[in-house]
Amino acid sequence: MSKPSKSLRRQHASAGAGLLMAAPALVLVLVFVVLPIAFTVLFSVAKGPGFGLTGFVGLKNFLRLLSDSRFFDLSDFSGALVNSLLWMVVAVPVVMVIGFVVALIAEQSRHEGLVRSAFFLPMVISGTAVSIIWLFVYAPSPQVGLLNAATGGTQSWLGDPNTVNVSLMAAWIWGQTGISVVIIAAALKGVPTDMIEAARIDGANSWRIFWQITLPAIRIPLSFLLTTQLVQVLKVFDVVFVMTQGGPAGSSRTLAMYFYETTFLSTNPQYGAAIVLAMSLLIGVAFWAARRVTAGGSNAA
Amino acid sequence: MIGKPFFFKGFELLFIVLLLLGVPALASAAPASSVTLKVVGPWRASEADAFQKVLDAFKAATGISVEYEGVPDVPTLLGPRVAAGSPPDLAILPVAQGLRDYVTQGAVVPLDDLAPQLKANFAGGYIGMVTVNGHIYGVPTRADVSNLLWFNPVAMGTQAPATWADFLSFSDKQAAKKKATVAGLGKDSWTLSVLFEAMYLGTNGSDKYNKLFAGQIPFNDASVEKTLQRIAVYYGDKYAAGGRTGALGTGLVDGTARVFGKSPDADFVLAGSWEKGLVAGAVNKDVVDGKTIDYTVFPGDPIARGALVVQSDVAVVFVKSPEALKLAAYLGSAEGQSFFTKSGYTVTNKNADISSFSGLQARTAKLLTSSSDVVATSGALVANDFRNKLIDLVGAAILRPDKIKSQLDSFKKEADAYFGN
Repeated sequence: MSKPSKSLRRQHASAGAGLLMAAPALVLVLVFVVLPIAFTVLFSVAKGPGFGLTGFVGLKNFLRLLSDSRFFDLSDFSGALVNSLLWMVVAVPVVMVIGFVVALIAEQSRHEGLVRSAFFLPMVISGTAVSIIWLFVYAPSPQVGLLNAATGGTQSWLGDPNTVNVSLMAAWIWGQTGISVVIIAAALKGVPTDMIEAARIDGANSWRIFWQITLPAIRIPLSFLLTTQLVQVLKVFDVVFVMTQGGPAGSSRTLAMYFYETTFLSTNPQYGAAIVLAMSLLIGVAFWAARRVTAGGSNAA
Repeated sequence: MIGKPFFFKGFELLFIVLLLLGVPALASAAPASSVTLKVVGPWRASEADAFQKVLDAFKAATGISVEYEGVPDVPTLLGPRVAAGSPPDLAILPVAQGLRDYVTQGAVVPLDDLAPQLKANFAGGYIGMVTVNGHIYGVPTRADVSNLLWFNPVAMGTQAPATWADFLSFSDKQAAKKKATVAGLGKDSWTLSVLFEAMYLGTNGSDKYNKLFAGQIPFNDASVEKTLQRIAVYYGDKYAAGGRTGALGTGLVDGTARVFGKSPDADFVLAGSWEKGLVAGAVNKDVVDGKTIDYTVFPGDPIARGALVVQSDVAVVFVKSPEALKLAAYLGSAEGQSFFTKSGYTVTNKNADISSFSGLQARTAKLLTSSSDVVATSGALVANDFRNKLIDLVGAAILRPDKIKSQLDSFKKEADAYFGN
């Protein structure tokens, strides 16, 4: 048998060195990403008690989701799943549209940095602090609640099932718009000005320039923003936990909140794992939809 | 070789003799133990300081060291530790939350050996609270009463309602003047379970209360329906400040401020015996016991007059050892509990020294240590999962009182599944 050539040996040696150098990161990924995912899957098909695993129940935990009115109630179209979907279709577009509008206004403004900073400021506040601030905005008593004091009303923003989700979203949007503004503003700076000039010379109006040049040009950052925001709203927990704990009567319970209640308050991590895997499935669908939406923009261009 | 001076040899001999005589002597003076017990509990800051005094006294008496870890969320921390097979030796379960879950899991140690001591120190109702399937699993420690109706006597200008009928009579008069009587606290969802407990006990008495939470009365029983209807009235548009949604959207501090703040717009708030501390600390530091702040047991029907819902933190043993059992016994003793009372915390041990209390706290201490008609908060009687569903049920009843019957029929299925009926 002939000896391996020098270059082959060098390749093997460099592959080994590469693996060695990547090892710390690989171990971290294994411990903090792969193993937790594996345990989550394992928990979802197992039974307790508590955090123990004493046997397998197959898909029982997933089937339970179908008849769990707190997860999804078909009779009045409510439950954690519906609320999380509501967050996806309302909060994410609003964050992006506000981000767009503010970024465009900031671009025209002489005080661009100031405008962007003003919107970015809430981003540095923790979700819990944001929630506490907004509790003072929404308190029903006009002596405490800024909103009712300002409007002279007595609306219970967080106690009314008709307003609670929108109120929570407003607080979350206030905290999240900054990142949307910063990403879109940076993306707008990358749009080639010669293309815009050429279109303008060809007689295109601002609206057409926006749809056919600006929007397609920032497709990739928009795709990133859309995807991350979808993931963020599916994970939304702190705002709900601090402000309503899912109430009143479960009308603001999101999937992440339900996962927490089930896993830690009810000590049923097996069912909690099923909830979080359903959530992951939803994130997968959201990813796919986000890609479709942004790819659609590309085709239109 | 140079030999050692004689006095050195003598000194060594003396040292050995002293060692042989002295070590056992020292050991008998303060029994040493190499064991350090690990305890997890909800008490932090001043509460942890009070507990440390108990632990110091325990160490002085037994020589056993205890390492205490105060955490904000005991169930969240404890669950994974129990599952991983590394629970603390002993844990303090806040308001006995999760006790039954841990018994079901076989994670906690029965404390039946302590029964004679506990029975000598606690009323039967308190022993019942820590008894699961006929075995004692916990030791009651610091405690509060949770079914108290707080009010400002000066602002109210009349006697506090003693019964539900009195409450309705007073509230109707206020409603006629377009004034609200009730400050809701529904935004903090756990307060809704407190409301259910107070109202069910007040409407039906402790016997039915215990049967309901033991699964011996179905949840669509007339007693539950009557309770929810009263809750819907109590937190309803007619009596509650801000109406039913206002009651559900108001949190603990804001609701307290509606009664004890600078511009009150309600007369009553249902809260535990800790309410005075909250008022003085966060709302109005100038309140005076019996004059501008007072309480009465939540008004119910005569059948339940004076019955208390008690929230008692409970010590449970996870790892069986003579040392852990000694600590559990000490925590339940009159001596151990008196350290709590001297630090300003109320307990249920009838032999504990409560002479240091004054004002409303003295009344609470007496209520807790002398009452026998007591029930545990639902958190101690049912698993959290079920309690969370009950909280949703109460919220739904307040929002849609017209659907209480169908809500109960639906809830009964969940209750039956939970209780195995």
